[in-house]
Amino acid sequence: MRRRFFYLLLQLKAAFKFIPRLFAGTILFGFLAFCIGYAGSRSIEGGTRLFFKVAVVLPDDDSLVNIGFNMLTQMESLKDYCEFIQTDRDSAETMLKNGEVYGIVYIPEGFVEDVLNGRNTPAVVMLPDNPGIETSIFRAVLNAGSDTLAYVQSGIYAMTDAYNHFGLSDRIMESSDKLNDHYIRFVINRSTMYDIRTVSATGALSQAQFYICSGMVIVILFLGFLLGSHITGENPKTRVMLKRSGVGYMYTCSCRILATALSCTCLLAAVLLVVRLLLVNTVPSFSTDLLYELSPQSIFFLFLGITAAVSFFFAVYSLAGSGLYGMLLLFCINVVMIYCSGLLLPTAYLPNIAKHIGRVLPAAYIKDLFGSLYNAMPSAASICACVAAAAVFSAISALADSRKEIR
Amino acid sequence: MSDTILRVNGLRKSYRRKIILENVSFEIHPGDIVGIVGANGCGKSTLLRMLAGADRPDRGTIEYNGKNAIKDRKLFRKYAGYVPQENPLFENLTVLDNLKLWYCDCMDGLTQVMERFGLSTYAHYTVNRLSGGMKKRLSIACSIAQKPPLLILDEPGASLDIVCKSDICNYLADYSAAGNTVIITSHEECELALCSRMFIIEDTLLREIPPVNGSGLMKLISKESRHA
Repeated sequence: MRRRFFYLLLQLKAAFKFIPRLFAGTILFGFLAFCIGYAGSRSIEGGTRLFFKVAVVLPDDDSLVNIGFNMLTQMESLKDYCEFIQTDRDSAETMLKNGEVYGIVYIPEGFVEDVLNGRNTPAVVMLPDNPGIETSIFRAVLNAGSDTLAYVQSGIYAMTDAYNHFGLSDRIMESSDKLNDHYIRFVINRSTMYDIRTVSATGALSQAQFYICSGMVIVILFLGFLLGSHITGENPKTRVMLKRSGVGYMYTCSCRILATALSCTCLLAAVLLVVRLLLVNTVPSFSTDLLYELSPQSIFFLFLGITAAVSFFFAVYSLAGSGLYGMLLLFCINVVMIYCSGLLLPTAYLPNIAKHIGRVLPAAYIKDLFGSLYNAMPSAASICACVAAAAVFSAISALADSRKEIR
Repeated sequence: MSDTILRVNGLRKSYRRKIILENVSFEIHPGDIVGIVGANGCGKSTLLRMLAGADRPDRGTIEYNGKNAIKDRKLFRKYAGYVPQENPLFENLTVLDNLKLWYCDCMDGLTQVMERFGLSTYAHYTVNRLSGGMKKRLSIACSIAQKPPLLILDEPGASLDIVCKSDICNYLADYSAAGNTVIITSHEECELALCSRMFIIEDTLLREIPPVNGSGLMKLISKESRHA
């Protein structure tokens, strides 16, 4: 028991002695993360106000379609979000290929007359093969519009059929007008159909807060490279000797992870505290929205997140078997993890496959825990995921260490 | 107390279906200095690891003082100190930290050991600043923390200068003279010259040979290697 305690103390000492080397790396990686965060933030800023550019191909000499199209493009609600570019078929297709428009709408000849007469002549909509977020939203809006039109049409047709059936054909016109009025009022008054709920891709955090938390996770992930020499530095024979004296691989591995995580947490908390004090005292106009809180709770969640990350590094280096291969493996996983866990762009903007990959990697959960710096309580799932990740990665690392002893 | 401190019977070890040691049996008596020799890769270190409890045999028994250590692994700690070929030290911690880890149960003997091994001056040096010889002395000092009656050393003089080798040989002679037992693998003449008994491993089998001097031994090993 005494030896176990002493081993833990020695590991703490070794980990804290490593802090000066980590500090230099933290500054460097902090700057790198700031640049990545700034670029990501700018990229989101450009995309917050969606504006659809749509090419429209109208039939020649169809005055009714032209009138309808002019009415549509002048509607206030559409003008804010859509720009309809009237052009010919070839130019429209070239624009779609070049990514200048998000889709093409082909209006066939007699389209408006057919709608009025109750004939279903479809307008053809062409979208690119690999649509971006704007095209996807445009498609959803288009589908919603065509569904609404279909419901209105079927209502009027049903009413017409019913009146004809009961011999009340002379009242069709009057009732159609009334029904149209109801539909138009219903559609225009959108609040009867929709609740206004603000949904943000960055969750409970503002965009800037989101990128500060992401930046911190990226710094921690990059610190894995610096920690390589510390993780692989301990002579495996020492662990064999400890095993002989009754101190098992799981205990030695857990101690090393705990000590390393504690030293990294102290370093990060100290850096955050100094930065906060500097900002408060030297930049009084600094946005209070961006000032994080270093409460005991947030420091605990920082520690938990860092423990998950450090145990992940230990597992990677143990599986790789050497410092160099460990760094290469960690680099590859980090690149995938930074993208798939939504550290660069929120997961809402990522392809489904990336979202699925991100769910099995720890970075997204660690970032959720880091949100506690802005009083955003992490979800229970994230807390459990980080605890589970720390346990599983520690076990993997201990197992890999013990297997290494078998030639 | 039994006159046999270590009895090994029918020991077998294989790695990935390759048999390294087969049917190894021998007895060691208190005060013996036993040398184990053989060509590189013949299984000397594997045998020492099993004797020290750092590895498990596929079959066979290892008895310390008549008790089966395979079943009660605490006996390995109680009876055998082990110095592997690579120094099992924390390189970024001080000499004193390394010693404290192993002497945490018996701190009173620490000062004496540091003086015996000439480590007092270097107590606050980090291990990575020490020479190879000092590291080996520190490793031996760590391994005898529990005052074991048997010391197992895997090529202790490898890559050390002549002064360090001589110093280690002197220590081993003193240790044996105090009634303790030493098992050593080595290619060094001065270390093998200390041995009262000698074994050679060839073709996975261990057999006892009469103690020979360094040049005679090298001839024997090279001859056996050629036959293998």
